[in-house]
Amino acid sequence: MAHAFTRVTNRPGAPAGETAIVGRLDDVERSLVIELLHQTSVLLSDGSDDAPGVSSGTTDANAEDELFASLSRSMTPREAPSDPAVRRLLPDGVKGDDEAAREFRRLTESTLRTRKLANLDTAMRAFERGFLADEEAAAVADEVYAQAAKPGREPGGGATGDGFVAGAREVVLTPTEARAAMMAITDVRLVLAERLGLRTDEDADALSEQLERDAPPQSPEELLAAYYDFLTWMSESITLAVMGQA
Amino acid sequence: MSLAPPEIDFDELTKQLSLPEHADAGERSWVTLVWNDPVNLMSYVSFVFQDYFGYSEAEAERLMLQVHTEGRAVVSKGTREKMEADTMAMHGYSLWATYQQES
Repeated sequence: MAHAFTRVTNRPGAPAGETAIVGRLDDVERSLVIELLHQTSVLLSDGSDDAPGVSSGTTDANAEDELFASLSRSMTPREAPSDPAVRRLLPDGVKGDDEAAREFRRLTESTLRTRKLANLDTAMRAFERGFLADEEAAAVADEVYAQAAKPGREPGGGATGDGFVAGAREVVLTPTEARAAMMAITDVRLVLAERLGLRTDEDADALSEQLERDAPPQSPEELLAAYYDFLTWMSESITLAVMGQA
Repeated sequence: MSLAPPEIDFDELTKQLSLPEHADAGERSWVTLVWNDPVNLMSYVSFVFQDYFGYSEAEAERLMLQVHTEGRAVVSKGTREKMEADTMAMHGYSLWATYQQES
């Protein structure tokens, strides 16, 4: 079972005065967070023809071609991404003026995408640290990753992991990692929300009611809803700890 | 009667040249709006407004509630370039923002 994140100063063994954001997650929860961060990162990379890190070129010549191609793409007007979830991560900056929106996208989209991928990466590394090195944890993670790759199957014990569980392990984030995690998890939640068709406050209320019934997830959609709910809790917890209210 | 040129009151001139309406028409005619969405948490939105704009907790809270209840709020005013930068920064935090000329 997860425990909320709190701000901890002067942890034993840590440099004096250093603040950390510390929570506890069980192995299934933690594997799930890592997997969802990863999937969001892939989605954001795939949704672009000039995303960093997805170049197929391996030789120097190809890398050079790729660089020039990406430069020329950044000079031409850009259309919004076709996947609505990616579009939510990289939204229009101007309403009711398509030309200005395209111009804004041309100027900002590539930088924004790079920034978001960096946050996702920082968060992923922070959650992986000291975790995947543990054999037992790595086995749980493998299982979660494998099942996440097969939509429609429920991970053993459900999203909050009542099935697997050994005790919860500490997750220790530096303030920088905690900030990256807040933003990265928000991006994951935006993607899940889009897949769940969550577009208005009324949709969100309906989802809360559904989750309050607390029945085990029966469908892929209910499973996504459970993931969303878990990340909502975690995001709130990290935010309050960073703001010094927890 | 003196033939010397009339003395120019530089203070007065400066005041005339920098009348508020001049400044508004030139430099302060663009705004950044943040739009409500069902995903972003109230605590997080409030954090973003404090973190990026440096607003006080009370001001950040006020703007966050305005977004929540009225569907949107003006979170900054300034030059077009600054509003583009603010909009991009909000997108970096995953809030949906747009910029436009002040109506």
